[in-house]
Amino acid sequence: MGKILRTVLLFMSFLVCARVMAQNQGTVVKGTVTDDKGVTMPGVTVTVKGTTSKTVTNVSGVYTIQVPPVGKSLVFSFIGMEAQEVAIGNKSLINVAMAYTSTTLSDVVVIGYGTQRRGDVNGAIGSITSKDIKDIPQASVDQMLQGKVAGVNVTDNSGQPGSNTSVHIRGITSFTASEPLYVIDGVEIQGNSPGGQLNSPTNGQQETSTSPLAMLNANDIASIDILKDASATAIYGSRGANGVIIITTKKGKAGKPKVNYDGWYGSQEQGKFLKVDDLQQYAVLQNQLATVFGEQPREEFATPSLLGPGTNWQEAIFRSAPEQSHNLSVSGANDKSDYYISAGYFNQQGTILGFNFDRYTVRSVVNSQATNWLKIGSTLGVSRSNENIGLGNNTGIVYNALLATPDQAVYNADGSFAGPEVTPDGTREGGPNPVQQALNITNTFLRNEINGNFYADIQIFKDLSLHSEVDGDFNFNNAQTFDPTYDYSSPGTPAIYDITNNTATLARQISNSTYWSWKEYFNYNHTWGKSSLTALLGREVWESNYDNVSLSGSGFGAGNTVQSIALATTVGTTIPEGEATTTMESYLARAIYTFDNKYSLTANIRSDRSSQFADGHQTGYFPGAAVSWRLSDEPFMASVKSFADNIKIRLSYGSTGNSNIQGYAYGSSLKPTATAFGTAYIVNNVANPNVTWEKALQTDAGIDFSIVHGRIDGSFDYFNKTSSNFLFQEPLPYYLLGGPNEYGDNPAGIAPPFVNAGQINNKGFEFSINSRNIAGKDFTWNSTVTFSHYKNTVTSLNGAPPIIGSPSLAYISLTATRTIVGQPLGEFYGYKVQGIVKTPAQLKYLATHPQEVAGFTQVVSSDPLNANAIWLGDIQYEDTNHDGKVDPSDEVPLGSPQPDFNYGITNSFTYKNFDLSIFIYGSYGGKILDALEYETEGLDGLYQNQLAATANFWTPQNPNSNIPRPRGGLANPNLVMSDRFLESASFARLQNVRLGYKLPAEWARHVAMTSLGVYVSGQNLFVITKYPGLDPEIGSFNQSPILQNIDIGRYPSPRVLTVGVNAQF
Amino acid sequence: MMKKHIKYLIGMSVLGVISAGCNKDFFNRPPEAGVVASTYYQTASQLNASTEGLYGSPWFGWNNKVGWAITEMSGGNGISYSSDVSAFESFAVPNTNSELLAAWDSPFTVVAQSNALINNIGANTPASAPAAAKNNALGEARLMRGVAYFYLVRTFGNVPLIENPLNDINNFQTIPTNPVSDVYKFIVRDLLFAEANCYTNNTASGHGDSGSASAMLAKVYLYMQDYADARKEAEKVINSGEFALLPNFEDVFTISHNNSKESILAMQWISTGGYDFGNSIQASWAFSSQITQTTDGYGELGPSIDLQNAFAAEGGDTTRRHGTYMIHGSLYPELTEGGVAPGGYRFPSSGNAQGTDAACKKYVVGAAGDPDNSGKIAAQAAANNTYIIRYADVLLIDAEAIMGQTLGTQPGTGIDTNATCTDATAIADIDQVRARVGVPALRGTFTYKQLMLERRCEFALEQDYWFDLGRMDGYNVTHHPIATNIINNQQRGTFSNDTPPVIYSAHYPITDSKFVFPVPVIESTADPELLKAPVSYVFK
Repeated sequence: MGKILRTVLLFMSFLVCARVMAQNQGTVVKGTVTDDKGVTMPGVTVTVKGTTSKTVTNVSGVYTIQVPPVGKSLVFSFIGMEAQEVAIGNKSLINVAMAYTSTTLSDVVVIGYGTQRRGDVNGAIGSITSKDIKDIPQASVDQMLQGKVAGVNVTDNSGQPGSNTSVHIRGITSFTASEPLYVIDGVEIQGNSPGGQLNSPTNGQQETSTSPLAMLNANDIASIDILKDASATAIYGSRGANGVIIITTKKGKAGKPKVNYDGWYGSQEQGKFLKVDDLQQYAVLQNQLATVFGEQPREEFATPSLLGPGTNWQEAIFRSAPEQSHNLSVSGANDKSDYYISAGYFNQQGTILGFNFDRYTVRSVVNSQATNWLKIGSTLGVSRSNENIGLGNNTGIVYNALLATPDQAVYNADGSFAGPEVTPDGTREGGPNPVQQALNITNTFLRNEINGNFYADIQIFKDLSLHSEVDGDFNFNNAQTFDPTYDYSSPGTPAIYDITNNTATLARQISNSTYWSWKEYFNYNHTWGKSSLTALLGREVWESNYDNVSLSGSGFGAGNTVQSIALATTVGTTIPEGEATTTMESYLARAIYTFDNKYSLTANIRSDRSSQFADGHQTGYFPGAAVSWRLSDEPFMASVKSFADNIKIRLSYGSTGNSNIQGYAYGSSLKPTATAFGTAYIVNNVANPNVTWEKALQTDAGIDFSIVHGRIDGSFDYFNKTSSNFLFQEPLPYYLLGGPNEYGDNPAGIAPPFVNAGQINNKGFEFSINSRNIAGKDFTWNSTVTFSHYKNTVTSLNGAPPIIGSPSLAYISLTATRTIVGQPLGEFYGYKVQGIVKTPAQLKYLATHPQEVAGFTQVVSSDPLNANAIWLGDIQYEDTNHDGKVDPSDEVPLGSPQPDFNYGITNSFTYKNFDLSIFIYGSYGGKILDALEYETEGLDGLYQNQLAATANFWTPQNPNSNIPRPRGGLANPNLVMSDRFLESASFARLQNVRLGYKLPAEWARHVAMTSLGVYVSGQNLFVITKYPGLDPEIGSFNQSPILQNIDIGRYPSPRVLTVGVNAQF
Repeated sequence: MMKKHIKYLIGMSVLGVISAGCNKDFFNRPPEAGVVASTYYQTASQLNASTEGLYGSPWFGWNNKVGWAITEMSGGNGISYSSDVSAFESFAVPNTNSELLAAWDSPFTVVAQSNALINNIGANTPASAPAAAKNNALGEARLMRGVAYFYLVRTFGNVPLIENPLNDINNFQTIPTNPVSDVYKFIVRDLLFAEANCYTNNTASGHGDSGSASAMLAKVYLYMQDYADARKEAEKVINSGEFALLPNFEDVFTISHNNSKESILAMQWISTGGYDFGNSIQASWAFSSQITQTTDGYGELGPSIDLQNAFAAEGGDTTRRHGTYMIHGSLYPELTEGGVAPGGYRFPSSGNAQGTDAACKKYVVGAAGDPDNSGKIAAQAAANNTYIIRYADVLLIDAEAIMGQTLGTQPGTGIDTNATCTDATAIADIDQVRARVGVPALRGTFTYKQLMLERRCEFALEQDYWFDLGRMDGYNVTHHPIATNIINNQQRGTFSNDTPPVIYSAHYPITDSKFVFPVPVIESTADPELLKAPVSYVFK
């Protein structure tokens, strides 16, 4: 590769020298350039067509240009405006009024290492602009993409402030996180920031991964381009396997400096609560359960009707919470330079106690045409965010609140936290107080990020330029948890039964990461006859390093106020540091050839050499190609041209890769571990020296169209994407290399090798349609529909066993999903419920057709103390293979968490100065495992609350119920993995409604403003769904594709009402 | 001229840079917070340190809860309502139980790390390395592997024997279990190697040594009813003088007596490593957080009425009872609530863990501020060792081996519980154990029933009794009439709140198949062969 490159470059450098010679004299033309409203436009490029002569308009929109004798016409161009060509003739004064581009065809699309007009694009690229995501009350930009672009599935993994989001472009291609590559102004952002949130003390299961985009202020974004097919992403080679999202931030625009203020204030609240037992219902149920479990019923519950309603824990933890955003920017440009500087503040209080998020951002973008051949520029983004998740979600706060007992108060009369009731013999009749936990335990994550670049564009000669760029992304993070001392109880309880913590604990993780990259690439543009050629050739090198330092301490004699390791009585000796570096070097080349604006071909190739693999396996090659044909411009289409003004067919094929695995997986390393002898080394992993690139091949066929005079335009794409040799850690049985303990921690097990094995296929289609339904002078109505469908199938695991997704849920080890060949990734798998055992005939059948779903045969017995029994009221599972018994061979796929399709529908209306937009987002198909119900409908123990519906459990007197009888012990045969708690994941959400009013310009001018708009909007106003839990949008646990749509207490997304202002000075 | 053509010069130099490329070292990124396996295991000190990781965190899963849930709750010494472990009391542990997974994973993690050590030393240690250090490291690794399999075979019966997992990575779906007899053979082979290769007189350091291997061999041979070899190994340990009983029984379980003369082999815990690295038993057992001064102290296990009856049968309120569980009014001067109660902790008259009117004491070591703890207590992590074997066990093994030998009991048949033994050495062994705790000496004879009661009281709450029940009917049997009879008569009920308390009686009948636990579902899903008949192991 290097050798070929050298030859090509040498050849090109001759060209450079050869073309330097030509220079000439001619006439001079002057003029003024304005926009369609007559405002003068600085910075417009004026070129004498077919020559190198070129200039830009000055601050007053005036230009002067030397026209060589061969010059016949002038071309005026400016980004965002229609280019104009004016014949010179013998004129010496040419004034021009430029028009803003109106059709999407001429929008500029960022294609990676360059831009292209939308109409010329050969690959499948979806784009949205700032106005599509304007004023949405979300912390993170990725959340705003939901439903806006076909083929992109966005799921909020949690409704908590600052939480992460799963973005899947055209399906899921990997067992590990399948998130796309984000590129912000050319700077590639690592999918996951290092470190991440720590687990809350006392809770081991929660989202700890954080969104890399939570650091970006949405107000700074000009456009987002999503590269979907492999011909488009192949230019990002190794990192493009999951698609690429390119974010371009705002730049200063020509004209007088603009000062913008955008701000909004919102009020959030929880829209739905679950019906759990109130105190009376709880007392009745506790009495029934005590009888079943052979225990003394509680005296205080002897007459439930005398009891009050008790504590509503959901009301206690949920709250109405404010949210606000303020953003101020100054931007402008003259003929040589442009600038954009902004500062933003965002603050979101959680709708659950103990959660909040705030963020400060500053961004500056400066570009300057320093000399006629040199353009330089720089972007710099600085941000700081602080997130507190208190007691985390997922078996955290929501879970605790649902199970908390209504007989326990939140506070005692003296204002102290109340504990559970305690029996005279010391049994606590409830758990810790969720409100106390939410308010006292802190879990914060402070992030600082500096992200920026510097570039120079050197115009070597008219057609050839060199782009040099250095990018950097630096993160400094501090995660901290603090569990203070406390002591609380319900009144009158002996002190020995207080809920206490006498030793406060503090854990910190300080992490920093540096990423730098250096890019050099040549751009070559040449047009001759009807042909035009754009070529790119370059090299990129990057190095990424992270370092985490962990500290912990306990026993803070000075109290709970100052939370510093320095004050700890005892400092922990957990292994304090983790560090790794990854490097990559890439060569890239691309050529786009277009003939007659009808036929176009894109070909690109990238080679990547990665430090993730052993020498000899480091380099991967990723080619891609695409062709397009503008059918509508063919003579034989002339008859339909008046109806269908643009029809373009696209075809592409390409390859991308993935190297996203742990470093040094190709070798075996030892890891430090804390022992009684001091720090010792144990074996970390099994090496696989042959591990190498995962590859994804994708075919795309698409059509872009514009009909009825551009009133309706849209595109449709079919794709077929196969990831082969994909990288994953082989899921070996634990007896080979050791395994995790009961809560999933695996302090000493040996990590299985990473292997290249298996295949996943995603095929599907997507379309988006824009329709300008009414385009009157005062009234307009536009509609946009996006639709995405894909089918995901694991086509090979290369002999590896099924991959089991096992969420940790209290004391049940639920093998919820199983990924097997021929089925989709992360599919739910288990027994099918046939029904409740209701008749003696069923018992008779079960006596001879044994059921063994929990590792032991259930004997037909009415003995309430026999935990192996099956009796009336228990669940009978389906004998799916009809072998006369129910055992593990009867477990079957129960449904996929992945939806059949997603859609977004936007309708926007304007009437004079009013605008209204209504956005509906929906997902259809797919299943949710409501794993929370294993606890909230378990009927398996005393002293925890249950859903009110469980009161209807089966008894001989209540023969129509489908809720099994109560049974002690969490992991009883009624609570194995089955379709019992599988629910439909379909939903349609009224995601956003916005009503805005733009004040007439003359009014605005009275308050010294250029323009002023005000609006009210509602987010997540209602959801249509059959899902019985709090929120049907579950997402995946820490972005794991094999733990999707498992609800173990997800933080529900809030309903938000906002009022906002957009002002320009 | 220079200025005019600078852009071309820049262009040309960039071309040069681009075509040069990065050198090979740029892509060589070994771990920056770890060690490359092939560069370690070189020197004597590295080899000596290489086994340190085998005594702590790999055992955590076993020690945390399931170890005592199996041995004490299934064995009938303790009861708990707690839903994570209650199934172990009623013989209703489903293969989905997450504690059961820990019982499997944790010893197999010890096996995995031991195997990795053995194989890495084989591959990476140069011939020039000191032979003694190398042999000792291999010996310790095989000692711990053997011990881990001893826990596995007693818990699960047939299990797969793994020596080099790298051979099995690509065909694990076809790996069967190996029969109990092969597992024992494998264990004996490992322990004999350890006995021959480990350092001697090294247990004060916390490492296992040759004497540890002899003691484990004695115990394993006893389970195999190879009484002659059991006696030979036990007496080797007794005569070596390396170990002795501590004068005071309760000292055995304090942090300051970790790795004392009585300790032969133990899991080694630390308080400063957090969860997964410390001894979490007191977190579950301590009656109240007053004792631990942290959030924990859940009183999750109560000494069963049956265990309390057993202590009553041996003579009532002895030193050993005081050190094993708390009854109303018991005073513990060493538990000072971190200095808050200098007079010590008195178990309240209303005190009641899990309806037993008592609470566990053994392995409950108190708060960081108590004397003798040197601050080595944190939430869910105390620094007291968990015994795998201690000297008192060797004495009782010797007595039992002598008894079996004199009775001529054959493997596969249990010793009759009413059989008697009058051997003076055996009686002296037992009396040493009894004398320390103030129980009167035997009168020239003892029955097997008495010996097993002695074991039950001495090692109560030390993760042993269930395994004693499992072997009483003989080595490698599938029918357990003697143990079934004992278990079916155990009082596993609770006391009422009345004065005097009434017993809410509970008996959980056991069947033969319940003497081993099911393979965790996640394992049998990955490798269905685990559920099929065992296949003989091919010893290499």
